[in-house]
Amino acid sequence: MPVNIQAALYRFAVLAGLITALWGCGNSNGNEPEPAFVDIALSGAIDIETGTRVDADNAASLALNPRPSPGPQLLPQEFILAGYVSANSGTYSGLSDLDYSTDSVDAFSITIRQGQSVYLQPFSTSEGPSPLTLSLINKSGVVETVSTHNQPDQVRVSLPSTEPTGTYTLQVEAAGSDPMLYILSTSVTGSARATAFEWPDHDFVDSQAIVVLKSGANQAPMRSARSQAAMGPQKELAPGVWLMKAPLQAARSRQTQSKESTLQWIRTLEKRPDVASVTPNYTMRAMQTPLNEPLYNSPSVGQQWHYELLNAPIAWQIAPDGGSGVTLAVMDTGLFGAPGNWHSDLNANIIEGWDFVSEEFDNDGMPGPDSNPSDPGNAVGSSVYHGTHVAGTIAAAVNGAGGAGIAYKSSLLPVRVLGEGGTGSSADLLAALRWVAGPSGGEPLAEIVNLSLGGLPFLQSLQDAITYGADRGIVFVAAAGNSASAVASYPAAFDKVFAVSAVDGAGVLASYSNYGSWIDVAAPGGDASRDGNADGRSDLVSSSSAALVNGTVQETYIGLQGTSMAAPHVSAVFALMKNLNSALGYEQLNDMLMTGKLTCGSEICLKSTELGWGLLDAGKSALAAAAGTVSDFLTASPSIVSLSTEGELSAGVSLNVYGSAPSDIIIGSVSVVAPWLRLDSAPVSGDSGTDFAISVTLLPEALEAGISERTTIVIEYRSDELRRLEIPVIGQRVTDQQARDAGRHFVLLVDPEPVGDRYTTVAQTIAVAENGQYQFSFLPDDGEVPRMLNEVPPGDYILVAGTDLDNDGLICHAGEACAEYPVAGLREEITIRQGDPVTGVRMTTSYSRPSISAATPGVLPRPAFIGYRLIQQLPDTGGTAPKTIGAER
Amino acid sequence: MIAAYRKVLAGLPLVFLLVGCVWLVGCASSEPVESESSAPLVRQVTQSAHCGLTGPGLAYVQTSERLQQLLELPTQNMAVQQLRQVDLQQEHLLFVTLGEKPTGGYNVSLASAERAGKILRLSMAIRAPAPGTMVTQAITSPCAVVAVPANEWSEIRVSGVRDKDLVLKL
Repeated sequence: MPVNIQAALYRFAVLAGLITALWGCGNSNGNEPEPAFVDIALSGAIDIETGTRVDADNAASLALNPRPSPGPQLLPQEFILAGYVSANSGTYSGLSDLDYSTDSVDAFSITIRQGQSVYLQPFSTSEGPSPLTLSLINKSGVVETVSTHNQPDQVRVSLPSTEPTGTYTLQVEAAGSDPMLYILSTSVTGSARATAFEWPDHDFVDSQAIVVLKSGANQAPMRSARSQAAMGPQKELAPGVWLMKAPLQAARSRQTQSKESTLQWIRTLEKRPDVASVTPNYTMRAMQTPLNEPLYNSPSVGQQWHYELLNAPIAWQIAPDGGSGVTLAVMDTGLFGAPGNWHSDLNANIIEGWDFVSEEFDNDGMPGPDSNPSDPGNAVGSSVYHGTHVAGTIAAAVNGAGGAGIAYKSSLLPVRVLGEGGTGSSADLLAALRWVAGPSGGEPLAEIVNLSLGGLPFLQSLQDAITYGADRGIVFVAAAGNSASAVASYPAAFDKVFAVSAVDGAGVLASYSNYGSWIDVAAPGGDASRDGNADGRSDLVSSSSAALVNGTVQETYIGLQGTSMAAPHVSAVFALMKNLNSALGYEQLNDMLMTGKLTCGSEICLKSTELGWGLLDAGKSALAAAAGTVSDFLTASPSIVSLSTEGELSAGVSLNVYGSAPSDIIIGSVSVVAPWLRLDSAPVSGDSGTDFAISVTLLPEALEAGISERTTIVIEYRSDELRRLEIPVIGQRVTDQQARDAGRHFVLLVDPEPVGDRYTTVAQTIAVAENGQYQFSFLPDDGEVPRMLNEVPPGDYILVAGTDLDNDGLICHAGEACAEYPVAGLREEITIRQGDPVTGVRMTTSYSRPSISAATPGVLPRPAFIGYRLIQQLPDTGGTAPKTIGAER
Repeated sequence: MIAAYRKVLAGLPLVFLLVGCVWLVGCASSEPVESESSAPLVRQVTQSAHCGLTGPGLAYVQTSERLQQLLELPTQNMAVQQLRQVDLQQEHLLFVTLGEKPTGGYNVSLASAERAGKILRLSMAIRAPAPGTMVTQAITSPCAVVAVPANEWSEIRVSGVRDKDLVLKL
């Protein structure tokens, strides 16, 4: 009872605190809603000129990630790109701490027409001029090559009329010893500016709308002829809520027109006095498996390569229920969030759990066991929310956001047994194991228990609890441990527990993974020191987590490595299997494992000390679980095709027959319905066999620019019966506007009054291009010392932005991008006042510089301008004037 | 509406706790280790189990660019803002890293500091899971970040991380 009162008081105190905090944020001037970010001093956006691209491995990006790009960078037909090459690495003379890296060659892949030229303009860094060579290369060798010969003049290569129009490699090479900047461009870049466009939020059904009538409005007239003509009521979805169909004249044949006319019709409906609201009839996208989730193919967060390695896409075909109806207990650090409000990718699948962490290890503010398995993070240092990551691999939902788990419809029971720093006691684990086994007269609380923990010695009491649970039908899966040792680690090494070792992206034992005769099976656990699948990234397992962002802990996705990450893959595959055959327990699964039914694809693996019975194959496992009901069927590799104008334009897919005893199947048809996808080659009706190949090409002109579309390649075939395989294809015509990127920008506020011939940089922030634009903001100076780089005191400033591609601490010199507010060459002052944020500031960045002409009489020459200097250290704010670390003119 | 309100309420204790955690770190970090002369000598800014630095040793940060490099390492999960708030003109940052550890349960923190002329001696406290402790099986890379007065040292010696002192010549 006192605990409850305490809890209630505590909640009240928190609420009161929150209200006070909100009160404090409020504004006294009444009705006007304040913008969410009242503490902004200056914010805005920087547009990027048409066709702008940046060398992916310039000196600034190399300083952050020292590996130059491995392959050629794909460029559009018309472009302007700034780049950096250097045969050596070193430190700029006179600029201590400013280093340049080695990147001797930049390669680009472009489509070039006969007679078309590409121009190279070299720019020296402060190290002085150095020669560059520009080469145009095809498969048989160099077509044309030119050198700048240490001169500052532009050179060019052209495709001779003897060579066909097509894809060629352009290569820029540092032929001398010093770092150099360059601009590479096609002749017609900059002639046209693309118009702005918006991403559509959702697709909707043409000529339909959902109308909510005002309460009290008479429903009967809805059926009248007049209303029928104006609004076209189709169906009353709920009292007062109608599905409407547009009258015929509003419909149009062409798709974009009909979308627009539907919106126009909706706008007219909104004006009717009897209508409370009108919304388009949004279509739900059919999302069936984790293949449809953004994280599966996310270039930035990390692809879920581990699912491909596990052959999970095939398992999702065989077990389309995603483990529905199966409950998995994750005994771990708990979950990020609070009951009912967990990480949004998990929330749908979480059931009520328990916190077993005893006082000694607990840090959740309620010492000792309680009903809330929330992971509070670490009291000391930051946390990665281990349990949330493990849970995500198992049961993150397919919901169009983030990623999904392998058993994406299973139920997850969070059981917290690990506290501060991810440590806990065997006594707490024992209590949790006994609890999950259920009351003696009742059912177990979970069918599968995942234990991504280890380090315990053999303890008979734990073995007894596991044996008891296994006898009651629970399947236990545990991480083998990360000591790179053969010494048995518990609980993995207990009898009736599946001990899981970890492999990297190539299916090779991870460098840290334990091994030994006690290992049962292997699964992807990642290895940050390797890129086993050669995708250019280290092999980490991506899943749900949380991180401290701007002072609050927010949900996110991160990559981790460990046998902790391998075990949940196995638990989740077992859940898919138990969904197909609920009778599977430890003994049955172990028999299947030892007879080669769960691992190693088409082979039967011998037991090894490293991988146990081998790398788990989810497809084969699902097939084994569904034995007797699944015949031969086709599978596709890759299981998902992604095509884009800034990536691959064509792709090949191999089809293989999958089944317990694969035999020939007969192709019925292969079809593609989307106009933007061309089927180049495919088996024809009547072909029979066990292996086929398909190739497809993106037709970008048939796609609306900037919008990612999805379709499927449909293969109908006959094995035991008529069957159908659908391969998802994602196509995108990346607009120039989206792809524009002039490199990481420094945005500076400089004092308009030069000191001598130098400008003083007062505040500085960094912006990265997203969808072809940079967003930036500065905060008001809060008076606290030290002043942060992005805090700005009231005053008059010049706003400039630009890249530092050669990493020399200066922006806006030749060869680098530069923006000045409002227009480059015509600077105007911006005044920052206390409590009066300046927002919506726009300017445009470009590699080119304004010329002085009759049209731009205000542009003045700047003969000795070498750029604005970046702040390398925080200015002294002890009441004295900022130090002159200014920009030279 | 009521359901949403309940959700907010249910979420509150956690939010409070998380803020509490930040406070704890904040309080710990603002408590400087005193030298003999009682003037604050060095202070621990933050610590994390996931710093992304794979080898045990020292990383010395004098510029924001160098800091940015360390903050962009894969698997890094530090309190970035606390680090960015350090005035690098006044204080430099010393990352003391344990390197990759096989499991959770490890951390390193500043225990004491002393000045000997132009030599700064730091003593670190290391926590490792006791044998037989149950721990998470994800690879960690613990570190502590210590702010030291800029430009005062010819050498920084760190004890407690390895058998021998880690030495940084400046």
